[in-house]
Amino acid sequence: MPFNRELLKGSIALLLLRLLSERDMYGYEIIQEAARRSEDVFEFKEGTLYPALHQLHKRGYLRSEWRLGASGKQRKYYGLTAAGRKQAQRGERDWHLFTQTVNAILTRTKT
Amino acid sequence: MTRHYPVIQQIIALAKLPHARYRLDIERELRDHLEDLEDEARSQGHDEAMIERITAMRLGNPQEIAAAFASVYAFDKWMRRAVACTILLLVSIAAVSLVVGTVQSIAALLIRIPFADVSDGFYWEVLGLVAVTLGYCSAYLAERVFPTSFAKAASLSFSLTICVAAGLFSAIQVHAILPCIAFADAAFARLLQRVHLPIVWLAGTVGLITMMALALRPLLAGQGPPPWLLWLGLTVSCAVLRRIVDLFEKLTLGRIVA
Repeated sequence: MPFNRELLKGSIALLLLRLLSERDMYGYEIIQEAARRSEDVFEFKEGTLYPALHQLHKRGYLRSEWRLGASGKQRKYYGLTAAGRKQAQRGERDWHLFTQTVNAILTRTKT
Repeated sequence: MTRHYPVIQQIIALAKLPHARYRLDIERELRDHLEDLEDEARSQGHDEAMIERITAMRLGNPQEIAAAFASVYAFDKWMRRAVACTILLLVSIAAVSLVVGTVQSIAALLIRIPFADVSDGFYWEVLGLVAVTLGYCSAYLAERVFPTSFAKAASLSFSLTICVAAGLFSAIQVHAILPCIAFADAAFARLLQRVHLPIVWLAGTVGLITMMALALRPLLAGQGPPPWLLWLGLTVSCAVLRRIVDLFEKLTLGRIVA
């Protein structure tokens, strides 16, 4: 399903932090997991995912290490740091507030 | 090794990443990812041509990916440039001091006069040498900013000279004349070097020094080094600075830009 790219761009950091708050994953795994959970609505482009991961890593929200994956190949795994965990919680809170507000505006009729 | 290796190389080259370890890390990560994509497409029974199309489509536009990576590492790149420029200035000032000091010492020995007569005293000497180096490097900076337009580079260099002159005159008033001239001379000399004709260099620098000597004669009242020594100092300094700048490009900026 086609999705507004700008909407996804604004929420990509939150989605990544949320996915990685459950377990360490590498890029390809993140894409598959996001597609599975969204029932293929979200299709992270590799060109969007990796710069976003590197940006979060630079900001100190993610740690990374090369280790053997399930396939027996070396993969770069990303996981949350303590700062990343806090940022994920803050992001989720902000997101809920934002969506509630937008929904309120969209659903309430003029009185 | 994946068949999309050239695409990854293209991304790395376009992103102009500041460190080799970033380049290697991203290269390896993208290559592994493309290999996973290829394995997935292969397991779905696609032929090789289709696999190539699928992975290229999934990867996206290399220019957009490179731009995204470049913005992630933009701060590192500028920090690295700032450090490299500081090193360039320090090395240049040290080299120019060494060269001009040597030229002045040899001149003093040859014409059998005290060293003090061919120099302006330690403070002014250092200020002059720093001004020569900064003037030369400012013209080089202008070339980097406008690599394809001589007129724009010259305009920027001229504007920088005016700014430096204004700053120096407001700080040390009439004493600013000599360092300002040293700065402007060196910037002009760098522009002359771009012409690659010795006769243009000779005419330009000799003309400049002669005009300067005539204009400043009443102010200097016979003090300071003779004009031919100033010309020699400027020529040798600019030759040395050119070598340093070329080496700097090869060692640092080349790696950042490549």
